[in-house]
Amino acid sequence: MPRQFTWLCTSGALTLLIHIAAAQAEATRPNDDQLVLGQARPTSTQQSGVANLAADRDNLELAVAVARAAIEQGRKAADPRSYGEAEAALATWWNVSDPPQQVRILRAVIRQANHEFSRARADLDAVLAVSPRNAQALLSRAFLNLVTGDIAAAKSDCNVLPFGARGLIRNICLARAAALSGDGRAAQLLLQRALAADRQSPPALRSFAADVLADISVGLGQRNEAEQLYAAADRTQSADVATLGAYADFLLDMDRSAEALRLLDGRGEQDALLLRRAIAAKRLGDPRLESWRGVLNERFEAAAKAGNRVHLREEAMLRLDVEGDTALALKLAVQNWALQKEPADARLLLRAALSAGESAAAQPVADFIAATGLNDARVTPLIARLEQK
Amino acid sequence: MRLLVYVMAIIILVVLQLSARHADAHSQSYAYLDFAEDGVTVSGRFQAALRDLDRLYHLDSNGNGTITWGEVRQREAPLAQAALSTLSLKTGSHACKLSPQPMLIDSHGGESYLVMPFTADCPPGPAMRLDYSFLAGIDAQHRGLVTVTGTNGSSRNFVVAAGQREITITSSQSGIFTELASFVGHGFHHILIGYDHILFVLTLLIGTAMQQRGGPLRQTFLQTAKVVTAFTLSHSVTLGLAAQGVLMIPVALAESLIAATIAIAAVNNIWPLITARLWLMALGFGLIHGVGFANVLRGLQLPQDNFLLSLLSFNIGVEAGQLAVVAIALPVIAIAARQSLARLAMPAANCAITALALMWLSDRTLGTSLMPF
Repeated sequence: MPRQFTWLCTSGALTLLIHIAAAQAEATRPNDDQLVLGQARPTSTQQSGVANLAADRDNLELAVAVARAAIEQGRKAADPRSYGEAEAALATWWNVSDPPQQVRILRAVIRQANHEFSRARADLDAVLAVSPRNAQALLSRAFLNLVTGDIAAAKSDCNVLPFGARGLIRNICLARAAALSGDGRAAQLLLQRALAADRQSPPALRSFAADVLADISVGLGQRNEAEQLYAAADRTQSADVATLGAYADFLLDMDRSAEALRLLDGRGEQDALLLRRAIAAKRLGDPRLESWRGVLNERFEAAAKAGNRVHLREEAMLRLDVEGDTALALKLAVQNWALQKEPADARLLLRAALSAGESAAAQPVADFIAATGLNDARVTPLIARLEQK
Repeated sequence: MRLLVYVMAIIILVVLQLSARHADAHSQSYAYLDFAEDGVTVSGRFQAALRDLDRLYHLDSNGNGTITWGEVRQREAPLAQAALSTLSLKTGSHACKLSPQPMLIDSHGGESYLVMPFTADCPPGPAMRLDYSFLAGIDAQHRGLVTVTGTNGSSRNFVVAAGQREITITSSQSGIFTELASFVGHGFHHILIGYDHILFVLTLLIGTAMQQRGGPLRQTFLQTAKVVTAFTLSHSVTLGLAAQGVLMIPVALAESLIAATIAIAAVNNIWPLITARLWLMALGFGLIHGVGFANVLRGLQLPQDNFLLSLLSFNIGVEAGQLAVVAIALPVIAIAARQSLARLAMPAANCAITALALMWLSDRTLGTSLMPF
């Protein structure tokens, strides 16, 4: 009996020690004061606005200005935390059923960024019910409809957009809608002409048009045109995360993983970029794969715990192309398709269904294509494979 | 003019619209809060992203754009204080006091995190409430991921968000046995940190050992058992009566009387003024100490449906703790009492105990603060 007791105590103590060691494995206390832990956030004029707002929570004008600036900063730094800051600035009106119009539009932008698409749409519908020609709300709703696959609704929103600024944004909207309903050629022509005629749009808008044009070219299967546009974007602007991700997808789809990896090298740690690096590294047997997939898994795990659904597309891609967990990839791709219906989402669901050998799961994509007339080089060949099965 | 307004509106919106496309770049703000309850104390650690702490407290002291460990370390104490003050923990209506431990660094999701371990001094109670306000008013999309590890090793997860920052962590010790076990633990814990009770027991041990130093060692142990049993019986009676509300004695009065019993017992060891029969004194003074235990028990909020069982469990814990003290101290004291030096050392010890007890008495009646506890 005493002997057993000793064993029990010893093994208990050992288990405890191992437990403590495992829990403490990562966390350390550095010895070196010079050790750099991270970059400081650049000081900005934003901070004084936030401070003023903290003392004057109901100041609508100030709140809207702070929220706008936060969203703008988020765009520049590709920092999703900025949307949380914008939301915090609008806290007074955030849960109000009928907030002031400017707040409601910003709330829709933030909700869209969080992939709360139906709530974003409800806000925009409410604004447009009162002021049917509100350009901000119209444009927001048009792009929201393009993401969620309501192409007909997007077209009618694009059409009501005013002709201001020689209509470049209107033409981007119309071209995207046309491309997503099988009129890729017409869309390409429209946008090429609009870009050529445009003299006064700000560079950000012109490069946005170029990105859309590149995407249309990919959809048309015109690889050279697409590559020229992407390469030009990469050269001239400090390409944003969305463009880099699209360019990397383009390269990965052609099995040019090494080029994709080079493209993304040192371009940021955002999910979308890390994911594409991980996919390329997996295919190339690059040893950096482990650290990238580790970071992504950790982020997705935290997001899952927090109930955050923003990353569904990326997480499904990680399961499919890096982890090789086809069943989970399919489940996530199905959930993602319920939210977003862009060609990338269609392609993802089709690939996941084919890999898992569950063609039926991709039926919603086939139905969607039948309804919208989508004819995209990234999607159509997969539909053909699906039908062969 | 109208056209110009449209153009402006559209430019603003395009900027916003472009930014919405950046939703692909996600690394939202998460913090991790882990608690472990062992039935008596709560310990935990709060891990917050360096970037989030920078948003709140501007960590780049020298303004060179990078945050070094040195910049964190030099402000470690106020930083931990500020960050931990955003976690309000309560049991019942009593706030837990969080004491920060040395900071560590870690990384999660590719970001640097500061790890802030702490111990929480929580008045025991059936449920713990957390009011989380880290980054409140700054980032509405921040989420705190809370993990609570219970006494049985099971863990539960909570998410705290700006909309619902307050969560109630009901005790994981569901089931009557675990609940009773926790009261045993509380009783044990409270006798061990109840220095005045321990001192009283030690004084009784010294007195007994000195009286019996001429006889066989066995006699010392027997007499001690008699004295300790008398103390146990009487303090159990008043503990029970006071816990049930039959006996109502103000806390301050009970605490003062307890200090007095120690002083009297110590003096009585030198000159047996009251009685040479120590078990009798233990029996009488035990009544006062029982009221002191009951005051501790009141803070525990005994469950009404298992009142007597919980009371008994608490008492068992107290007796076990007391027995542990006796088991360790008795052999030492019994043997020390038989050394020739004891003739001088034992009265000296009794004098020291008397002095301590009088300082307690002064603190508790006159409001002085001569003693640290």
